Amino acid sequence: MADGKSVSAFVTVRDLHVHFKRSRRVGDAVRAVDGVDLDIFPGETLCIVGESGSGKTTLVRAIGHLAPITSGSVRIGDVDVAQLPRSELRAMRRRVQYVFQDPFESFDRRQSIFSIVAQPLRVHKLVGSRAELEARVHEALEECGLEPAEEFARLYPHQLSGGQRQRVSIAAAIVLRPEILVADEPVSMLDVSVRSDILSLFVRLKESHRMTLLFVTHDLSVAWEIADRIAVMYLGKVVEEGSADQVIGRPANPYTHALVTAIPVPDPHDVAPELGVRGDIGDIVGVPAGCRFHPRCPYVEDRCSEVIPPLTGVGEGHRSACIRNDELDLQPPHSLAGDFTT
Amino acid sequence: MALLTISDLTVEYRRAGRVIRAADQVSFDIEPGSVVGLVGESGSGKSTLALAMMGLLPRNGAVTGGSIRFDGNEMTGLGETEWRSVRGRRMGMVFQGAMNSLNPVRRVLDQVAEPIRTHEPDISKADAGERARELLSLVGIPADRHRAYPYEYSGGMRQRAGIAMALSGRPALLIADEPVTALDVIVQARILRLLENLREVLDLTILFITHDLGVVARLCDRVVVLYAARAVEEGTVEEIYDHPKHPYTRALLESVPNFARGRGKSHGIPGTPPSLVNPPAGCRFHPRCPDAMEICSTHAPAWSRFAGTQVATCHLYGGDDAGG
Repeated sequence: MADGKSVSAFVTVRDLHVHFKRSRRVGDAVRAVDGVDLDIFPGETLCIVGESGSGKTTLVRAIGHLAPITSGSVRIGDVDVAQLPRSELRAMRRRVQYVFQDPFESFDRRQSIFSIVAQPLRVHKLVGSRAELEARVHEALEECGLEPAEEFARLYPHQLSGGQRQRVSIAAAIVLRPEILVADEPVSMLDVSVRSDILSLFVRLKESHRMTLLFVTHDLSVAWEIADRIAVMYLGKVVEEGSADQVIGRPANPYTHALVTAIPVPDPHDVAPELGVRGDIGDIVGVPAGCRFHPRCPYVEDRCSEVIPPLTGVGEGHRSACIRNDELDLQPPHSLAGDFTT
Repeated sequence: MALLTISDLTVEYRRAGRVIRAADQVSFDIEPGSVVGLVGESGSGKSTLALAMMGLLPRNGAVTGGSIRFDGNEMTGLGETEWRSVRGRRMGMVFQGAMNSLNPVRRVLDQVAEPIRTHEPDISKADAGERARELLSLVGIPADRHRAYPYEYSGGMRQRAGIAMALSGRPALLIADEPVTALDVIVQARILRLLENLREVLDLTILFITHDLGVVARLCDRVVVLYAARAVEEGTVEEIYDHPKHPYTRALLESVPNFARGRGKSHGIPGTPPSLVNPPAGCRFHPRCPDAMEICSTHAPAWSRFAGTQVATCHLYGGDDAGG
């Protein structure tokens, strides 16, 4: 996989800020994304993991210019997304397609599955003839496991299960043949028994379409299942990134460590370790000084409220934002199958 | 004696002239002091069972067969007035949305004190307030936050306040329906730890309803697995997770990511859960079952008993009709 040296990044995010004005009365803006650097390599699956309020959704929306970029840059290939003139936005957006969490809300109930999947092709004026339109729509449905496509195309959203509806939204995203597929919590509303098939569908489509997959989830076990690399966000910043095995198996940042430790594993013999973490993620408007996690961190020192920790290397392709990176020896929270080494 | 005994419980809804059987002859016991997980996916009937057990079925739903015995008393057929003397008192409830069910413009302390005064009309206002403070401290809310308003609380604190309210009637049984599902994982872990502690301190019996097999493994002693309105397997968590007997239970466990098993090793169950309007004949899992035989599509399997306390309904095991 891409290790950042041999392959150059496909998407580069530099010092990205996305701030939202709260209201006229409150002067402080919500700094949803607050200085993020991120490289996304061609063909990889990168999971952005975080709790609610971490800024993970805003970050991926900014990458496709669905959220306003306050400052910093997002480059996709040679294109600087932030500087793009309005006239070229549509073309750029075709390259970055999104699948969202709720397959029940994202459809117009009166639209057939055919017109849902055909709509992006029509909007982007990508097909000349009705025959071509049908062929593209049917192909997308089949690729997403909705076969026979001709029959599914005639149905309406309410006639489908949750998993099937999510397959329809994936079909509507890949029908444009994007280079980057962004999936924001696409399985969190689905039953456990259908989740893993949707996850493997994403991986399969990523391979066959040679896409880059950017996958947002709050669920680290989902991330571990499909990610090549994981970036963990906390209050608008990336606090750790590395391979899935590094981040889950040997988390270096105290926040990631808590997050991984807290995962309830489906094994009654697993003894849940004590969590030293205090409180909730808190209100993003009142961002703590220094390390944003310091008020909750079990390893906090005086310096932590003074210094903003930079992301620094803790292993090959593994970075953590903690000034105590070198001193802390965090024990692996769970034993992982496989032969990975730190 | 069991604190709660559900036997052959059947619950039906009437919708647009059709009858939907959302729970079909479900049986299980909850022993005092135990934590029982009721596990199922959407449409399994787990929330319907919870509503029936609390006498909270909507107007178009009714218990049409079987019985619910709680504390030695038959609960089916109770009127709303009688339910009110049980619900919130001997039986406490926490819901997924409990964190949002607090009144935003009333102080949390007052909201916890109110049910205490309803349950115990003789208690003085000051004593009810004192009890409310004790409960809020018990669920981990610092004293200086007791008089705050719900909007000043984080999601985790609101759920703690919801638990305090559920405990206000000194319940013997706490019914918790997806109480941690909407919470972030760190908050979730801390609420689970709280429930573990409360169980010890208050000698609480808990029925925990969830789709999350990780949470069940963490918290529960016993598990009842539901599929399409029927119980299909029951046992201790160790029995169920170590040696699942029903092909559905096995498939469900294999569909959950598991660090110990390895990446990419989880796989889903083909097909989708059946419609309860027109469920499959025989075993309801047979259209999705990798082990289905001819008999599975025609005859509903009886209960088979295994070593220990495990029981399952599957034709693979013959069925001696002993369990359930």
